[in-house]
Amino acid sequence: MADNKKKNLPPEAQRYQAMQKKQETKRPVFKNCIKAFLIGGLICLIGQFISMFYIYYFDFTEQTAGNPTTATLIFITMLLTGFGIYDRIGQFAGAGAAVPVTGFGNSVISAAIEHRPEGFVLGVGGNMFKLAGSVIAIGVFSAFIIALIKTILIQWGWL
Amino acid sequence: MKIKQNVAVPALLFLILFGCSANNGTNPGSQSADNDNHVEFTKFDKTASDDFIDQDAANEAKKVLSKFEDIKAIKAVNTKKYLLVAVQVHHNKRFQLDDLEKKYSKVLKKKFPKYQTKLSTDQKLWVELNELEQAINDNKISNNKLEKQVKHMIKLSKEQT
Repeated sequence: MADNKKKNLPPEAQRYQAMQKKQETKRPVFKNCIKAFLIGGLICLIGQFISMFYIYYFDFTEQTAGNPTTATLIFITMLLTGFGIYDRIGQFAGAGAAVPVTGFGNSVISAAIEHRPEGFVLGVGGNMFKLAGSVIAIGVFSAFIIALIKTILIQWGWL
Repeated sequence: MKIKQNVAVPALLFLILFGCSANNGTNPGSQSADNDNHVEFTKFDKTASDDFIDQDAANEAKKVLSKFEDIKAIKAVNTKKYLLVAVQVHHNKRFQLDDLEKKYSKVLKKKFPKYQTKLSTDQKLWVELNELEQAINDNKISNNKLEKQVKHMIKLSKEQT
């Protein structure tokens, strides 16, 4: 698709693009992957520590400790986003900071902070799910479809 | 130079990721009893007070489960009605946790039809049973308290959210 577009360009534009390609600094994909892996893993490790804290010191089992752990991670993200630290982590780690639940929290909180001057209701309330709304909608819809499939399979005795 | 770097970096990453591969060998526990499989479990001695619920069923359950290779440690406590068991499986077997739990639960139900058995791989139950075992061994717990604790643990294990 992209090659076809290039072929349709006039020769001068093609020459310019070739020159531009030479000048461009290459994205360090492998390095970025390592960064994302390490920071994403570190966030998960912190999450595991929080989960173990709830299991050892409160009446939570492995299964029920998930909710308070998620809430705690999002609360920590809220503070870090407010102080401007999470944005730096995100710039450094990329997907490593965006993929875990902290990335979801950051997308909600940063939108809320950004639209604060427009007021609490129309500003914060109306815009805080601008980024995260799609995640919630697709998540709920996917969960519904999966639950439906599972129910059908159980009814038919395949599970 | 660049070729060397292109080979060395993935190789290093490969080593980091797969270097710590699962250890299939068994690790003998410090408290291991007389068992063939080096499974870590404490064996209850006869408690000093005669009226205390004897832990023969729990000891027997440990013996039965220690024959399975996937299990690395067992904690178990019984009351007159319930038999509560917590197991730890080797890390590379954690992907089959549900299947293993069902399998061992069946074994326990077959072996102890008189008891209401509950087997779990949950860390919380492991911690709680470990504390209970220590309290029983140190004679620091009464029958009533044991019954209460076991009922509380069964309630915990049934919670979903």
